[in-house]
Amino acid sequence: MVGDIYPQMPPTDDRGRAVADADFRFESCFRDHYAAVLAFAVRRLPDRATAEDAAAETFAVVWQRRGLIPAEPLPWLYGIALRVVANQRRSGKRRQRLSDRLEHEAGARADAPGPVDALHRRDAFSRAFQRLSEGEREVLRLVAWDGLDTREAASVLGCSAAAFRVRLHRARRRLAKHLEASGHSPLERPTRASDPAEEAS
Amino acid sequence: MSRKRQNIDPLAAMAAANPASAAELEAGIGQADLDRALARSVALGRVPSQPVPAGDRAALRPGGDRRRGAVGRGGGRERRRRATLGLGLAAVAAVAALFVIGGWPGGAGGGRPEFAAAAIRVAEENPRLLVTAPGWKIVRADEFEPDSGELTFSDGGRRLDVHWYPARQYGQYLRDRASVSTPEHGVLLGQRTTTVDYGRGEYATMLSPQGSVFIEVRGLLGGRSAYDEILHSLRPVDVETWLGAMPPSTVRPEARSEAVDQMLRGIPLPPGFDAAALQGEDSISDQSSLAVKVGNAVACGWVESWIAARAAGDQAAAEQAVEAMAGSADWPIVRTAEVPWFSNYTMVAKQLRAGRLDRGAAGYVAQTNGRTFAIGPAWKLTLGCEGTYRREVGREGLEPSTDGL
Repeated sequence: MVGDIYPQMPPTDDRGRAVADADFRFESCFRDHYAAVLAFAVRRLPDRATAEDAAAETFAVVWQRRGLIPAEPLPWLYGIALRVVANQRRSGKRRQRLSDRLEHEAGARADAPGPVDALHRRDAFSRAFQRLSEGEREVLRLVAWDGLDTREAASVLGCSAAAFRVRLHRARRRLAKHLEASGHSPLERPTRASDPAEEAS
Repeated sequence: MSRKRQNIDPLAAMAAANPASAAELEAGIGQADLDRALARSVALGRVPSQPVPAGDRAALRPGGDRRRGAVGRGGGRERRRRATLGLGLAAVAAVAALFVIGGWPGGAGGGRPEFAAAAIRVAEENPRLLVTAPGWKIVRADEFEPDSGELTFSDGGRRLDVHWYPARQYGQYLRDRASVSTPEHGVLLGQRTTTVDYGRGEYATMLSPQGSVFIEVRGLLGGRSAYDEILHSLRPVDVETWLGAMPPSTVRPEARSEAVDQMLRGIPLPPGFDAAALQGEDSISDQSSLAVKVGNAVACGWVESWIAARAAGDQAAAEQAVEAMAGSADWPIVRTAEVPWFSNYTMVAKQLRAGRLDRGAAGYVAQTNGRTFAIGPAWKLTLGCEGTYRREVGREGLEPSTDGL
């Protein structure tokens, strides 16, 4: 689709070739990672349309940087998306709160044995999660929802891996405490292999 | 972190509440949807004043970067800010100090500036338009050539981009912009203008060709009247005024040689490395663009050295290249400049260490006319080396991706 999307497709001189390489790099990056970036936004914004806006704006930034897309771009993309999402939240145009969305989704995905348990777990988790600071919530999202390891998540937030590990530890501890206090149903601890942040730390 | 068993595992609770699975989303996105989303992002990205969430200092870091100090600067759509490439502010200030020479207008040297002949040649070929509205100045000058380049002007909040392109591409651009909105025509500085409306208060104006180039101006300035006011404040200036208006973060041609020298310090250079070729270019550069260009030249040289050594059976030379690339994360420009591109060097270094350089096509580009092109080799694209190819292939003409030599 390159020739259609990029009508300024340059001639075949050296400069043109460099631009063409960058266009190709962008398109490859987009096709490989659009779904991941959209999912990242869906996890943080109240509705799919807003998340699609955020994904589009994220890749608009990437387009402007297309000559510098790293070979393993996902943490970099998430770093851009995180700031686009922050802008979306600040826009004041979105009235629906993430907590509402979270409650709905948690209820739908809690794998509970029955609707009563699901509702209970959903409400309890939502209450506990919302008692965390936004910074703590983001640390947990990056690991539990986006599947990043410590180094990747640290690069998204712009801190060191060591600092991220400390923040993750504190966030986990506080969430566990709030879950216990809110009556959340106990869950078995998963195997270590499903805990990417700890695996990498 | 403590491994003590807990009754409630918060990450498991989090995972159970995950609102979206990328795999499920991907399965639900058709090819047409993806193409539309791609076209939308490109359209947004091509608007110069597209708001960039300028937390770039963190966002532009490669994965696993341990550096600290990133500050998300935020900024909403209203602020319409465009982030600078790559370098953090502190790094910009430090590096800029290396390149600002005495004699700049308003600089420490005071007097009449003396520009290198190369800079003057670039300027003489340029339309040299400046925004003359009060408070406006150039805040960004990306690497450009006499017949193509880009300047960003700002009054501290709003931004206006001025591009110049080869005159031979004027018709192509006119046709492209005609798809944006119904063009309006006028006159500016004696040139015919074509203005299109990107919506949301964003406008672009092309001036008819002047010599070997034509100008395109784009900006979102709070409405059409504000846009027109700044647009019509553009004035051509003389060479000295134009060069003197460049921001201090710009590496001018006369400072390029010293800048390249500085950037090469502490980096092992491959056999036969020609720094003079980098130093001798006439173009005016953004610092981060130049840093990437310098780093790429070194990295490409080492990989070529590795290929040659392997072909000649020179194990010592091959090992030298492997070690040089393995140490790329410690090269001063890589450590200083917060440019995620540099993580590519680490990726190729691992390939060299494993003896398996990716020499196949990096991928394929399918055009709507049914033609498919292979682009490669992957290692050159990864490092930004010269000598990449774009070959038309059959629909099933896939190439091997890895060549262990």
